[in-house]
Order: sequence, then structure tokens, then C-alpha cells
Amino acid sequence: MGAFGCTGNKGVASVKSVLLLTAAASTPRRGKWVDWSIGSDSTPADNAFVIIVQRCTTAGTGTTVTPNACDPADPIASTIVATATVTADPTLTANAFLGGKALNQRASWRWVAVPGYELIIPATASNGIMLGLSSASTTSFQADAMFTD
Amino acid sequence: MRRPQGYSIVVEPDKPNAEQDTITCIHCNGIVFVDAGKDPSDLGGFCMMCHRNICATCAATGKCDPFEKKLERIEGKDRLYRAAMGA
Repeated sequence: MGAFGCTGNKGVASVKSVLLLTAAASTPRRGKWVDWSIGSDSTPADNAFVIIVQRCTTAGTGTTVTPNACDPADPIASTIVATATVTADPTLTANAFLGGKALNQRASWRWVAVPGYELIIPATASNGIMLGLSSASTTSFQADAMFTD
Repeated sequence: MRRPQGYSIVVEPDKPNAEQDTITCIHCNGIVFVDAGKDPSDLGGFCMMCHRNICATCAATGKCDPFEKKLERIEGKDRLYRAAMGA
């Protein structure tokens, strides 16, 4: 099991997703989302947003980000697929919200799990977790994540 | 709280940081935010089978369905599907 980190930013205005972590489509392994932070990198303004963390059953369409191993000596690459700059949202599981927060655009939010209490990405092809907004917006957002797999 | 299972912080200019401990529901893997001084009865519940905290939604069902068992069901279906498809 290795620890990895990645960053991502919101893509087009018509999507909600900022960063997706999903299991690989073939030979999927479980992943554990340990830490995330999210905030807007647009010009500061007073706008209300609801950040959501929701389960998804497809990988969505976007740019696949290569997660970096926290330990550079770790020889095993991550099997978790990190997708950013999303152009088409994944299929989100109805009511499978793992967390959420209403925030001002000027605010940023970080969540860290105590070991053993992480959010789990099932070892099921292309299933995973979406970190993003409750509704599509033209405002740009940036997020980063730390996970193990 | 004494044994938090996670930590959340919201940083906003000109406002104090909003810090909260969190617990992770053993039945749905969801995060429950715990405000300082909050009445424990408002946090959800405690599963006596799992001996772990659960969220209010899972507590309302009155059933014990651990997330690990849900994962096994989800992953089992996927394994069966991929075996049938030869993937």
C-alpha cells in the first residue's frame, strides 16, 4: 500500500466535479481517501457554493492526473484513477453523499481522516468518489487529495 | 471530542477558522461533523454490533449493515460481472 497525492482543477462550466478518484477499470484495487482541500482560484467574490463529496459509478470524462507517490522510493504506481479538468461528470450515486459544506467563494476547506477512518473507494471498476460542487458553475475551483491504495 | 475520527477546517478571510472534529459512519462511510459542545444525542447513533459511531440517517434505519459488508457485496457483483465478461 502506497500513499499518493494529486491536484486538480474544475474544467468546463457545465460540470460539478473538481476532482475524481475512481478505481481502475481493470484489476481495480481499493483506495482510501485520506485528505482533501478545496477552494476557488477565481477572483475573490462573495458567492455561495455547496461543496459535496459523493460516490460515483463511472470515471467521468476529463484529464487523467498521474498521482505522485508521497515516498519517492515507493516503486509501485497507484491504481486509482485521478481525473481533473472534468468535461463530463461521472454517474453520481443518488443520495450517496459522504460529506458536504456550504462555503463562501473566498473560503477554502480541508478535511483529514484519522488512520482507519478514511473514505473508501471500492475495488469495483470505475467506481469512486467525486469532490466538487452541488451544481455546475462558471467559477473555477482547485482541489488536492491524498490517498492510499 | 476525545477520539475524533477526522478533522475539518474552513479558512476564510476576516473570519475565525471554523474547525470541527468529524466521525466516519461505520455503516455508510459518510462524514459527520461534530461541533464543539454538541449534544452527543444529536450526532447520530452508536451501533452496538459494530461498536462504532453511525450517522443519523443510518441510526434511523435501526439496522446493522456495516460498510465493509456493503463493499463486499458491491465488489462481489463486479467480480462476477468481469468473470462473466472475461475482463
